[in-house]
Amino acid sequence: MKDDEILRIENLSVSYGKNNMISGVNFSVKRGEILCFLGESGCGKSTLLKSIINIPELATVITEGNIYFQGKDIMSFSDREIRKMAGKDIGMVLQYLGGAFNPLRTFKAQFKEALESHGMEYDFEQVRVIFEKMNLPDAERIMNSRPYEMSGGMIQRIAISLTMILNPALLLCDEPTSALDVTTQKMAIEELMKVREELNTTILLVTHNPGIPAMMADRVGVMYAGHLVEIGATDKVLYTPAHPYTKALIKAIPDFSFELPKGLEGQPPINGAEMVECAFKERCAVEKDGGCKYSNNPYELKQVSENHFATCF
Amino acid sequence: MKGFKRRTKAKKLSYKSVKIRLIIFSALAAALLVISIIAPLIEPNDPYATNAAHMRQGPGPEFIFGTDSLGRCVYSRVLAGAFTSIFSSLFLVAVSFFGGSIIGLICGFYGGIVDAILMRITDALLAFPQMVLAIAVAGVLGGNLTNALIAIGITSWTLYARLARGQTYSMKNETFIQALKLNGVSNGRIMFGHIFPNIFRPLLATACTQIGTTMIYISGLSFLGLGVTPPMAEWGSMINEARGYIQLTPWAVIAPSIAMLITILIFNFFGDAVRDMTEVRNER
Amino acid sequence: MGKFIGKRLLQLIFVLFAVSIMTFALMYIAPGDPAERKLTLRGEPINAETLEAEREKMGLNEPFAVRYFSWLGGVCKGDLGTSYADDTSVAGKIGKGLSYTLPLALSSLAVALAISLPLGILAAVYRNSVLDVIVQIFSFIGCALPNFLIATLLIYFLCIKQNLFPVIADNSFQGLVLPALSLAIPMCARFIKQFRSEVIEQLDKSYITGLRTRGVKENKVVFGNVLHNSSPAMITIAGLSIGTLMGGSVVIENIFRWPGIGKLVMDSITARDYPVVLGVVLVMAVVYVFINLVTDILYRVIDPRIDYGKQG
Repeated sequence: MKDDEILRIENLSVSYGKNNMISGVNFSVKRGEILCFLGESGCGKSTLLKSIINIPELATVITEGNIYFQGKDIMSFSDREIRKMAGKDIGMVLQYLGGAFNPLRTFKAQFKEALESHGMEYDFEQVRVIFEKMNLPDAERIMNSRPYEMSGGMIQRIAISLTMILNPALLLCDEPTSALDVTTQKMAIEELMKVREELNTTILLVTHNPGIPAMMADRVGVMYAGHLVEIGATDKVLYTPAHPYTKALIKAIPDFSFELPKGLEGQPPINGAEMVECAFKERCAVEKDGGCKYSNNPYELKQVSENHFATCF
Repeated sequence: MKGFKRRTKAKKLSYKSVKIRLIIFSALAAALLVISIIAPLIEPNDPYATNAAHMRQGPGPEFIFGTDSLGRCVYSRVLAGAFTSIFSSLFLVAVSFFGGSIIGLICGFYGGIVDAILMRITDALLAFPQMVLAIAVAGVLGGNLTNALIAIGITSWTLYARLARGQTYSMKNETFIQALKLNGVSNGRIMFGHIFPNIFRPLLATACTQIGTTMIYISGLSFLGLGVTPPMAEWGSMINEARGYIQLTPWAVIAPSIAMLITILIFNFFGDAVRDMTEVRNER
Repeated sequence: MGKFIGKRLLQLIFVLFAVSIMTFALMYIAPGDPAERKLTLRGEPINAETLEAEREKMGLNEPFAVRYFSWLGGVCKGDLGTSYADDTSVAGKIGKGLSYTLPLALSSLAVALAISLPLGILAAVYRNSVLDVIVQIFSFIGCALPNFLIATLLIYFLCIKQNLFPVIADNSFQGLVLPALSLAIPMCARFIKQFRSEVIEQLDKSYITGLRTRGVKENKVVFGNVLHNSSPAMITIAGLSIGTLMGGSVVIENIFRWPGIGKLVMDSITARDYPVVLGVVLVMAVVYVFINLVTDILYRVIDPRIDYGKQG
C-alpha cells in the first residue's frame, strides 16, 4: 500500500440483496484527489458510493471484494465503528432533495446533533462563514428554520455545508449539484475545490454531467452496466477516450454547434453486472464492425497510456 | 455472502405472502360462517332447553363444555351464539358500509350545501365517544338486538361516508370523469358506474377491518344487557349470565370467551390481510 | 397558528351546539311519558291529575325548541337538571362519579402508555426480532379481547383462584388495580400496534439515511428524531383512545361496581332516570371534544407543515 493512498477498492461486487448491481470494480484513490464517476443512470455509480460508506439504511450488500479505507478493511467494522466513521471520516452528500434533514427540526438542532455525535462543538461563526461561501445569506434565520420551509436547492447547499463542517477525510458526493441552478452549481463546485485545497480532502463524485469532471476532477472513471470500463486522468478520458462506450458518451454531450448530439441507441442491459460477456456488445460501434479484440476478458482494465486504463480500446 | 448481519429496510409486503395470508384467513372466516349457519344441525343438545337434572355439570362426554346454571348445554349455546354474534356484526358492517359509502359518494360528487350539512353531522357524531353514545341510545330505546345495532350504526356509517366523500372528491376532477360528463353521461351513471367501482376496494378493506371491532361493540352491549334479550344465545350475554356463577361453572364463561377470542382474531387477521392486499395491489 | 386555533374554536362552538341538540333529542325520542317515569320512580300515585300537574311542572307541554333552550340555558350555567329519582342535582351526581372515574381512567391510560411506548418503539427498532414477534402476538391477542372478557377472566384467575384482589372494587388502591388493568390491556395492545407501525414508518423515511451518513448517535436518531416526528401521531392516537376509554369505563365500572359515572349512567338507564343519562353523555362528549381540540393543537405545534400546504 502506498502511503498517500486513502481508499483502495478490490474486485468489489455489490447488490441490494438480490442481483449484483456492480461487479469486479478495482481502483484506488490518493489523499487529496478528486475522482469523478460518469455514466448513465442505473450504471451503478451511486451504488459504488453507497457501498463505501456502507450504512444499513442504504441497503447495499457487499457480495465480493474488499474496501480498504486508510488501510483498514471496512467490512470488518462493527455497526458502532461504522457509525463513528460516518460523517467524521467519510462524509456523504446524498442525491435526493431534503432527504438529508429531518423536516420537522431546526437546522441548528440538527447541526448540533451531528457535531455532538462526533464530540465536536457547534460554532455559529464557522457555520456563518461556510454559509456565506455557499451563497446562503442570513445564517441566523436559516439555522432557526426547518427544512420544510426551504427550497430543495437551499437544503442541498446546507447539507454540503454541514458535511464540510464535519470535515471528513473522504467526501462522497452523489450528484451533489443536480438540484442546483447553474450559478449555484458553479459556487458549490468551487467550494468543493477550495475544501480540497485547504483541507486536502479526498472527493469521490458521481455525476452524469461530463462538464463537472472537466472543471474539477483529477481523474475520471466511467461506469457502464455495473462495470468500471475506463479510468484515467481527466483530460485523457474526456478528450482522448479509449473505450467505445466513453467515446459514444462524450459524443452525446450537447454543445453549441447547432448539431444534434449523437445519442447512444438502445438501453444498457438490466443485469449487466451479472453478465460474463461484454455488456456493451449490443450497442457497441466496434462490435458491429466485427472488430472486438477482448471478447474473452471484457472486464479487465488494460493500460492505454500512462495513467489511463480501459477494459477495451 | 460476505458482510455482517445488518438491519435492512422494511420489507415491502410481498404479493405472494399477502395472498397466502388472505387465502388462509378467508378460508378460516368462511369456515366460521359455515359452522354458524349449520349450527342447528350440529348442536348435540337443544341450546334453549333448561334441565334441572343437569344443572352446573362439568365438561364431560354428554356435555362437551358442561352445562350452565339452568342446565343448558354450553357447547350447543356457543354454537348457537356464533350465528348471532357473527351475522349481526357482518350485517351491521355491510349496512354501514353501503349506506355510508353511498352518502359519502353523493356528497362528494355534488358538494355544496348537502355536503356541508353531512360533514357537520359527522363532526357532531364523531364528537361522542362511540361506545358511550351506543350505550345511551340502546339504553334509552330499550335493550334488544335491533336497537343495539341501531345504536352502533348511528356512528359507524360516518367512517365510510368520510372515506367515500374524500375519494370521490379527488376523483371527480379526473379527466375521464370530466370526459364522461361532456359526453352527457348521467350523474347517477357516473357515480355508480364509474366512481364507485374505483373507490370500492379501499372502502371494502376498511369494512373488513371493522368486523372484529363491531363484534366487540355488539357483545359489549349484550354483556351490559342492552343487546340481545335472554334467553337468546349470544356470547357477550352468555358471559354476563354465567359470570355470577363463575366459581361454580367456570366452563360456562370460558367456553364462549375462547370462542369469541378466536372468532375476533380470525376476523381481525382477515381484515388486515384484505387491507394489505389492496395496498400491495396499488403498488403493483 | 393563531388563525388555526381561532378556526378550531369556532368549529368547537358549532360541534358543542350540535352535540347538545343530539343529546337532548335522545331524551325526546325515549319511549314513555317522562312525567309518568318520574312519579313511578318517586313512588307517588299516578292518575290523570297528578300526571297533568307534573307535566306542567316539568314543562313537557312546551314545544321542543322552548324546552331545549331552557335546558341549554341551564347547562351553560352548569345546571344539568335534577334526577327524577330523588330531585338531587345531576351535576352533583356526575361530579361525585367523576371523582371515581378520573383516577380509574387516568391510571389505566398511564399504565397503557407506560407499557406500550417502550414496547412499541423497541419492537419497531428491533423489527422482526424475537422481542418484536412476542410483542406483536400479545398485541394481536389484546386487540381481540373485549374489556369485559378481560375483566371476567382477571376476576376468575386473580380473585377467585388466587384471592389476590377484591372482586367488588372498594376504593382502595387494591380495588383500583383490576378495573384499571381491564381497561389498560386492550388499550395497550392497540397502542403497541399503532406506535410500532408509526415508528417503523419514520425509520424508513429518507432523513434517517441522512442522519446515518452523518454518523448521528443511535439514541439521538431514535429519541431526538424518530420519536419527535412520530409524537404528533402518537398524541392523536392517545387522544382518540380517551373515547374508547370512556365507553370501556361504563362496562368495567359495572363489573367491578366502581361508583364512577359509568356505573351512574347504567344505573340511570336501568331506572330510566333520563336527566342523569343525558347529563353523563353530555359531559363525556364535551370532555372528548376538548381533548380532541388539545391534541389537534399539539399536533400543529410539533408539525406545523399543514399550515403551509400539505407537502412531504
